[in-house]
Amino acid sequence: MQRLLEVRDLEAGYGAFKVLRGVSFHVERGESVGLFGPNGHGKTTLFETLSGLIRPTAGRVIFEGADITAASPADIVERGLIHVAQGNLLFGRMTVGETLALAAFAKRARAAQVRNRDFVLNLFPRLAERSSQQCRTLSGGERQMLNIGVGLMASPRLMILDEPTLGLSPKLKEVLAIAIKNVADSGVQLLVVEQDVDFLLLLCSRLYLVNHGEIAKTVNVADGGFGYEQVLEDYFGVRNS
Amino acid sequence: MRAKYLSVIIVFIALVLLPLVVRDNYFRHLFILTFLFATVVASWDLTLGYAGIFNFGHIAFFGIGIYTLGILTTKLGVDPWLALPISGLMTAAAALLVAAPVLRLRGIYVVLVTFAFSQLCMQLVLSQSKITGGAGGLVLIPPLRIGSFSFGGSGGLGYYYAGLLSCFVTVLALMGIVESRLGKAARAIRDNPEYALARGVDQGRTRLIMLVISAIPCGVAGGLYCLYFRIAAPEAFGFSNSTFILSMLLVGGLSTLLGPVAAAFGIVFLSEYLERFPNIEAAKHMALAVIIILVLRFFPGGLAQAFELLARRVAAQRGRNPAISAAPTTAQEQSVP
Amino acid sequence: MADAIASILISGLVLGSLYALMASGLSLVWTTLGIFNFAHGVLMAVGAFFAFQISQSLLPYAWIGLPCLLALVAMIFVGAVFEYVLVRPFYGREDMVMVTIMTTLAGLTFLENGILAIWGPRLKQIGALAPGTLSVGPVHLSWQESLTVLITPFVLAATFLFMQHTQTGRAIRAVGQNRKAAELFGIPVQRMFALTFAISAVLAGLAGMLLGSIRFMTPTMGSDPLVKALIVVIFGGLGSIGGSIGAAYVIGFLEALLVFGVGLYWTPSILFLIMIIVLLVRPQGLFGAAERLTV
Repeated sequence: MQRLLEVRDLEAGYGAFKVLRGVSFHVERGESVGLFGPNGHGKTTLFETLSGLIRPTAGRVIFEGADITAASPADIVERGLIHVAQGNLLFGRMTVGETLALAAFAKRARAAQVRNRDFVLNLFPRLAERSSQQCRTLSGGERQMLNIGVGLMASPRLMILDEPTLGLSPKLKEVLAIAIKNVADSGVQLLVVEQDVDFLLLLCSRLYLVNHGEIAKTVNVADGGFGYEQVLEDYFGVRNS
Repeated sequence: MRAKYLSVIIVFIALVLLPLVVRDNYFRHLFILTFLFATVVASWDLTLGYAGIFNFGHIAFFGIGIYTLGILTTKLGVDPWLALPISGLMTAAAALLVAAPVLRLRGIYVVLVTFAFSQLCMQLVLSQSKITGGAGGLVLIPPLRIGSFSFGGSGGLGYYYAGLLSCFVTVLALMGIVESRLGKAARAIRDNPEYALARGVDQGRTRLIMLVISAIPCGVAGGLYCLYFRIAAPEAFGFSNSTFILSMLLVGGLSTLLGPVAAAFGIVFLSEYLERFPNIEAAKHMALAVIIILVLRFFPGGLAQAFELLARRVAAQRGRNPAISAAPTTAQEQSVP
Repeated sequence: MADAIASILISGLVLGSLYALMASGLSLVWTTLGIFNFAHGVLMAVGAFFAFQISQSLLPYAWIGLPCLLALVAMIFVGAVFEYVLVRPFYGREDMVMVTIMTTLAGLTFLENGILAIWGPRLKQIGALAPGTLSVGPVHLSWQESLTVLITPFVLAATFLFMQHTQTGRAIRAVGQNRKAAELFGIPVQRMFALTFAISAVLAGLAGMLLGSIRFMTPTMGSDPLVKALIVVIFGGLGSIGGSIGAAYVIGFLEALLVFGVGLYWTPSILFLIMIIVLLVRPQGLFGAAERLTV
């Protein structure tokens, strides 16, 4: 069966500074995939390249069989590859309701707009409460919920989540983790970056360690035997006895 | 750096000697225009370029210089020799006046307010016709004299040297100021205001001084302009004039001083050449507008940047230093201080 | 006495309406693209001259409203081309605001002289939408003036509704608030820029046509309104379309009052002086905009 996403030897950077040094991985149909690794090693750059914000200097990105390496961000969204970015990229002076409505801008999202909206508000009841509030008045957790909600409104085939629980309290982390699991269960495929590797293990069938702009290690969850100690060792080279 | 000073002096000497070779009055007239505009544009580069003050009303200083001299000589009978420095002082005073609202604003509002200031000057000139001659302006400005020698004689030879001197002195002085502590402070504020603040640079005072300094040569040039043409007209404050001079600034390259001065030569001569086709008065302005856009698009650093690139390429080809590549590789190299 | 008050009120309303149309277009471009369009005034002139020409050569016997509408449609394209040539190539540059000031100034010079070259400097006038005058008690005004006063709030309201309640309007607002996020929403950002400019050009063109029928048309007819619009946005804040509109009417009334009180010659100078004083006392303008103060 055709792979959903295929990334081959992707290279990208800012000016002369190369961040991605030949990244290759893939996402099969029906699975979710996770990325983890030290900060500043290219995960966000990778996502921005996938979603078209950055043009790669080498390599290919193939989504559902089509080469989207040089496609525009709008085009990529139309194909169903949705990037939920890190850092609360929202519109300060628009209300929650307006933002969710706008999130159905893409043509692919229009038919399912009402259905998607119901799904999102069911998933995050808090957003329904805050519907007429401006985005800049939302708390960190609520913004993250809105971010994910916005992604869902676009009827994604593959949703990229860049550290969805970053900076949240443990309780909120749990709330969001459950919500994300629900999203995955509803059939939306995910490509997730998270610090919480255990969460990734529950959600994804395969994990990639991104280190120094490359895929340093591939972990098939089904193989088992991969856990916390392994992560420590990979990150810090420390072996806990 | 030394090369710059040297080239300025060499060009100065060449221009001093030029009237001996080129006796055509028309060319002399063009040079006088160029010297005066070059003075204005160089002083504009100080605030807009080096100090990063979005001063879009600089033309007002020129106009104030023109009218101060005009009013002093025609209405108050002041001797032109005395009126010239007073023009400079009046302009400096105007700069102080503008500084008050400008210094408290930033970004686009500085643009709007300074621009509004130049329009205000024009309105005042138009409305106070008893003093300023209104839309018709002032005429019969007395010429500059030393004894029996009138500056206007011999095709304006006196004004040629006066203009050249004012331009030369201004350029040298500005070059010095840019490298001085004050100039460095101003550049620091332009590039990184928070850091400059943290290093104890007084933003308000520095910008104020820069504004005032930029106004003085502008005012004197205005005075000379008035003496040379023997009229003072409100068009001096106008949009067209302002854009004309701004084009020299951009084509030459912001923050390069010598670039805009060189561009002044080019643009004055080019525009005068285009005047030969009498039906294309409007086309002259349109052509200039297109040139501005093209330069901004392809040579954002103006002539100065193009020149720098060329010099680099030549040096690289001569193999003087194989390590230098033909094009700048880092962002720092691209912005010419 | 009632006569005088009435005429000041009418004058103020007419001026305020024209300034509101202009300032809203300027403010729209500023909030969405982040640039100040110095050529906004000349776009007024372009609209007026288009309407004039279409009326003269294509539809000399038709009601003037038709050429006006056609000219407004033409302004959509003018705005889009304008953005494409003078703004788009410079987007993303560090000194974008400065550069676009210069390119729009160049655009102003180009268009103004272009109009001069094509139509000449002599005064012209567009016919009124409805001829004659209207008298209600002490109030006397031409039909054209009253139409100006009536049309403007409708146009502004329509624009407001568009911006608030349509996907495209939301998209335009989004682009102004967070360009990167807008891209990730699948919004074609550059197309939105072109559209914003087009809307702004239509608003300017409309103001120009109205002005060109109440007063006269010259190639430089837009420069004085631009300066007034400048004062308006300094007062009301560029970043707030609503604030600009409010300030427009305030300035309109102020100007009418001053013309009555101190005469035509002194009015511009005094307006400027008032502006400078307001800035000294309250740098954030009448409606408050903290982003304009220094560190």
